[in-house]
Amino acid sequence: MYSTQQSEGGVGTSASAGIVSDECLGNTWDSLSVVQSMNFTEANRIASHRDIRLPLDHQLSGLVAGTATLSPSDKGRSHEDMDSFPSSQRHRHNKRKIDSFQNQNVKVEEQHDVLLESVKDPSGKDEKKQKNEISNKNSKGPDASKDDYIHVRAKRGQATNSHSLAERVRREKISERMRLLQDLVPGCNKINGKAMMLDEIINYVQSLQCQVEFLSMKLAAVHPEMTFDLERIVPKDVLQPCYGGSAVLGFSPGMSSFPPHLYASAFQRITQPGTPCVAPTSRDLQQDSLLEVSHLDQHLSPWQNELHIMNPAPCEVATDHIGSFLMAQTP
Amino acid sequence: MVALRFLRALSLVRCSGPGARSPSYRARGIRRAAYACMAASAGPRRAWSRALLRKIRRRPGRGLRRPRAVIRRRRPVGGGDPLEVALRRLVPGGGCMEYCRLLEEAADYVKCLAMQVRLMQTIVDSASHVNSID
Repeated sequence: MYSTQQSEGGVGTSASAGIVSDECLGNTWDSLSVVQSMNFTEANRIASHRDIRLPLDHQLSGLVAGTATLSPSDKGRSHEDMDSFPSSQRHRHNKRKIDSFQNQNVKVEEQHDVLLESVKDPSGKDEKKQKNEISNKNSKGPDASKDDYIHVRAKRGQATNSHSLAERVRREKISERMRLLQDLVPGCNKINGKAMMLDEIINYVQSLQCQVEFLSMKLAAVHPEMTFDLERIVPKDVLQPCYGGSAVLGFSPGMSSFPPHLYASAFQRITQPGTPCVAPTSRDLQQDSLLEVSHLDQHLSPWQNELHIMNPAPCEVATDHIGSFLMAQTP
Repeated sequence: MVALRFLRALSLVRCSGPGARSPSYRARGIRRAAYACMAASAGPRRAWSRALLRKIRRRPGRGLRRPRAVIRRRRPVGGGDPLEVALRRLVPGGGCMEYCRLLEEAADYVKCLAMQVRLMQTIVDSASHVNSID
């Protein structure tokens, strides 16, 4: 679900991206196994590419040596990692891909007055963080990123506990999702509370499901009288399932790069799917259909002539209407 | 994409038994077809589409289930928030997800549902328009 490439500043290899994107598909991979598998392969590469160490290295090494609590799965490797500071640092960096890991490995000791430095990714979309960076506590605001990876900064006056940082990131994720939902559900711009927003969303989903039921009943009533033949509405070659959006209708090359279906949600921006198609992420549903209609206008008229010829007169209007809707729908 | 699938499914429903079935039976078949088309066109990358297709294909009375390779997480989520519980019940496959994932799937589900409703409305409108012409 999260792009590794952004967090690694372009260093991320295809292997890691592949692994994480697979994980993001909702497979029930053990997060531990994922990170462990990419840990050692990535460690050297990342360390060699980046200047990871910060000026306060010695403090971190002291911390790392001092942390007693490690997750049980790490114990096998913890000893060898504790030996050399750079390797343990690498180990930590790679561990931060997954939220559940964030609280486990290193406990930031607050007596040392350390602050986890967080610099947001320049694109502003990535939510991964690396937690072990230490900086001066009194510095406020995000620095210009000296390095390419993402860390979370606890602002002045906020708790620096790793738990609360993870919670804060989780809360930000949730609020971002809620904002997206707000855009989808009509009439939710004024509502500011999370609970009321959820209520609206639930009502909307229930109303949509009721509408589907109602419309299906209506269709069942209307259906026997409706005699349309699919082959007459749409030429045969469009009927072939084409997930690549190929030049079936003689589309311009730009069109064929559309996502296979119109339901490419905004989240796919972040998920970095492994599909060859590039999703036009900035467009929403209506824009997609509008664009396609505008492209298809030139193609529609010869088809309409075809339809006029082939169809009996009463069905003409219906098939034209459905046909135009279909044109708007098909990629 | 959805429109093509749905129209194809509609014609299938019609062909299965035009005069012998009651309208309610046909309505249920149409509803099933609508959800199936919606889920199929959303793709297998979405958890809700997989769960929806699983629910549709699992007919009552099919006892034998082959052991699946996929381990489905059935961790009981501590549902303290009644709103969250209601949302989990509404979104297909929402029982086993984390909250963030649930919101994401809900957004996609809402989008697809709205599109499906629009499509069905268009079909009904055009059909009633044809009938009013005659």
